[in-house]
Amino acid sequence: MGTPAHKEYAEFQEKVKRTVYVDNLSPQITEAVLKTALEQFGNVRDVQFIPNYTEANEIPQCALVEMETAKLAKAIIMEMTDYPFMLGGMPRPVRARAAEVEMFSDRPIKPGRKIQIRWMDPKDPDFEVAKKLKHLTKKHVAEASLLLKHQLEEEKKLAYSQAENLEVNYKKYEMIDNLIIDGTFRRLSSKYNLELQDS
Amino acid sequence: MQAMSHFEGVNKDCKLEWGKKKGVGGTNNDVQFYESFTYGNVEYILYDCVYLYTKGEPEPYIGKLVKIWEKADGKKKIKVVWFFRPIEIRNWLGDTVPCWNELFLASGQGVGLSNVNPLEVLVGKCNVICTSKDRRNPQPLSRDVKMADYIFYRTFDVGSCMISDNFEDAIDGIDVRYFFNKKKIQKFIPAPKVDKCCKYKTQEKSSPSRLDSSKAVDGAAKDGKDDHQTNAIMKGEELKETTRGKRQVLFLEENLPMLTTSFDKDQAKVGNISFRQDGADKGKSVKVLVHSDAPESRLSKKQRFLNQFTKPGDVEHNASFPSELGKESRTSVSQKLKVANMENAERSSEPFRKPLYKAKGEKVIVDDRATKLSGKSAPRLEGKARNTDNQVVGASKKPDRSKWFKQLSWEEATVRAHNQGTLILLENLDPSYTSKEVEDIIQQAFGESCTAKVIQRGTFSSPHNGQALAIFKKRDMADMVVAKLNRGCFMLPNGRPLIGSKGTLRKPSKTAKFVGHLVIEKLKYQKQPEEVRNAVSTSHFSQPNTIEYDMAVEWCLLMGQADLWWKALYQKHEEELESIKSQLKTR
Repeated sequence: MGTPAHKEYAEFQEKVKRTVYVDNLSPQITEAVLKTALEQFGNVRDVQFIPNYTEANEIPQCALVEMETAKLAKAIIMEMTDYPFMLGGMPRPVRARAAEVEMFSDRPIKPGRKIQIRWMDPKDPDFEVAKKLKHLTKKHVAEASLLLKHQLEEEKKLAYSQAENLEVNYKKYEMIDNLIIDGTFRRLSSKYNLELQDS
Repeated sequence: MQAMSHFEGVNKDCKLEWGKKKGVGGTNNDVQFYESFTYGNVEYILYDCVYLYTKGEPEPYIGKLVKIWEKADGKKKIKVVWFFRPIEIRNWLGDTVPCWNELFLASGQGVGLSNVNPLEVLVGKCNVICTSKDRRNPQPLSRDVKMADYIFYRTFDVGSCMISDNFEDAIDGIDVRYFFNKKKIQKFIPAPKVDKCCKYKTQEKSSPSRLDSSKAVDGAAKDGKDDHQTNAIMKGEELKETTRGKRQVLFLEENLPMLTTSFDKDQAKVGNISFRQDGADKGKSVKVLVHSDAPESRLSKKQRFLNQFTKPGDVEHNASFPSELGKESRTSVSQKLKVANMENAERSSEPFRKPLYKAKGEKVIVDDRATKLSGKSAPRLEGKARNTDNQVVGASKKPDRSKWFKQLSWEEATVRAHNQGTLILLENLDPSYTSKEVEDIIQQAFGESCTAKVIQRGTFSSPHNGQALAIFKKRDMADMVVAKLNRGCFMLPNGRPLIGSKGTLRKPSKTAKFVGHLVIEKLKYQKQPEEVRNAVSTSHFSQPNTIEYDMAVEWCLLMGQADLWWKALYQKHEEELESIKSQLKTR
């Protein structure tokens, strides 16, 4: 503490604690909608969507919502983890997590850090290792992308099967409704001598 | 002939003189309103269009005077309704292609419509003609239009950010007729027509009387020059002389980004240098406005010159300096000169002489005498006095337009840079690096500056691989950086060789898909009562006895599974990275 940089960083850390990271948001969700939704819990200070610059796949929106206090943020995360929370549609719930420092683009520099950097000489024995590391990093990115694709696929499957289920359910209830309305229900019950209690 | 210099306002030859009174107001009737006043030899009348000096802006703002008053404490205020240059509202222009000298009148409600300013920010008058076909608008003569500095026929609604051809009946509570052309358009002295490349235009000529006075000053000015050892040096001069009777306006500016920052920090002082020329040909006079900012005492780097000269001829300039150059008598000026040529400027292409603009020194040195004179009283050159009242215009007074409307966001900037090939994706950074640190790293590695922003961690971001986007100024710079990173190896701490690549920006698709929000097809097309339709967009927790809840649990299950996959993947990644990193001899 003491120096302005330390102070700034401490303030920033407080902000991180106050913030809830919300993901699995539909693209239709706007700042205003999200704000209203979380204002049910308490005062919202700020809403910031995290833009997707690099991921080529369609991924759900995610956002940082800064609440009034850290306690409030914590409570929201607990609630939303325990109960599915619907926002802008059903039945896929949104998810809340604690925000992390790396999620903020405007984070201040952590005081006292020095970054040592150097150009590596091609003759350096580590040069080849570094090349391998580069390669590995790229490979990892590709792997992550593949996993993401897989996950999105799974989500799609689930959504599809749920939609089908829902449709079937709906049809079932619709049929029952129709049977009651056109009197079939009554006729059948009298035929089988069954007591009918307020349909 | 009437002299009416645009930039004379800063020339404190004349103090402020009030003109016609208009009435009193305020809580104690202690505010005096005026209809006109003379300031710096220019008479301003209510509803004139004026230039307003703006610190840190390459060009002065333009507005219409709608109220002039003096408070009991002697503070003089003006209220202006703004005109926008197309560049200021470029984000909202859409496919509108504005005319080269077109302005947009502010309208509607909201920030940016009008402002109250200290009267001292006035720089001069501006000839703006309304070419709207609105029948309330007295139609201008084509000659007037040609002579105009700017024209306007559209409005920009500051609330809705829309451009419109229609004029409301009242703008900021003022009858719109005052915004149209005045019934009797001022008689302008045969003004030069304006070349298209012109940035500033002037429509006035110097009057004989002024020439006399300038002659008188010339002698003094010479002395002043010697005494004051004034070298105003400009880089990249491209001044051209205009022919007799024509004039040019020069606009000098330094590197803008730099300029802005320092303007923010420093207090600005407005002064004026006027270069005059003597001699048989009645003197061409060049006026230079220096807006110098002096951090404490050092008037450094940035100054802004608005030059304007009237007559051609051989050049002998003298400079009278703004007095308040601060404690130090050094003013270093490094500017680029932008020259706006008046009509016929092309005829005369003889390069501007440089006696005062001595190249490279980039310093304006005012000797002690001038410095002593600084403060409230102006440097007095013998003979005719040049009374330069300095005004210190604090940043707070200035309307800061930059915050009125949204700036080009980082998102838009990246898209633009991507299209221009100046965007690079940096990978394998430590995820905890900040944007500033990334910029520093690039600066150290390549000696090139760039604007960088780290990519924020999202749901699917790797905890091992920090990414950042960097925008470079030029395409070849970006290419060079990528090439160097690919060929060579730039090592960050903790065994992280930096990776750079181009063409990686995601194309934003407008039809973003999102699975998992279900709607019953049949119901979708049925007309629903309003509350049902609205109900979809509200947020709620699922109740355990619903189908919705069951489905939501299925989603939670999937999410939980996915989390495990990611965890496993990243753990594997970490192990792989560690095993290779352990081969590194130096970390």
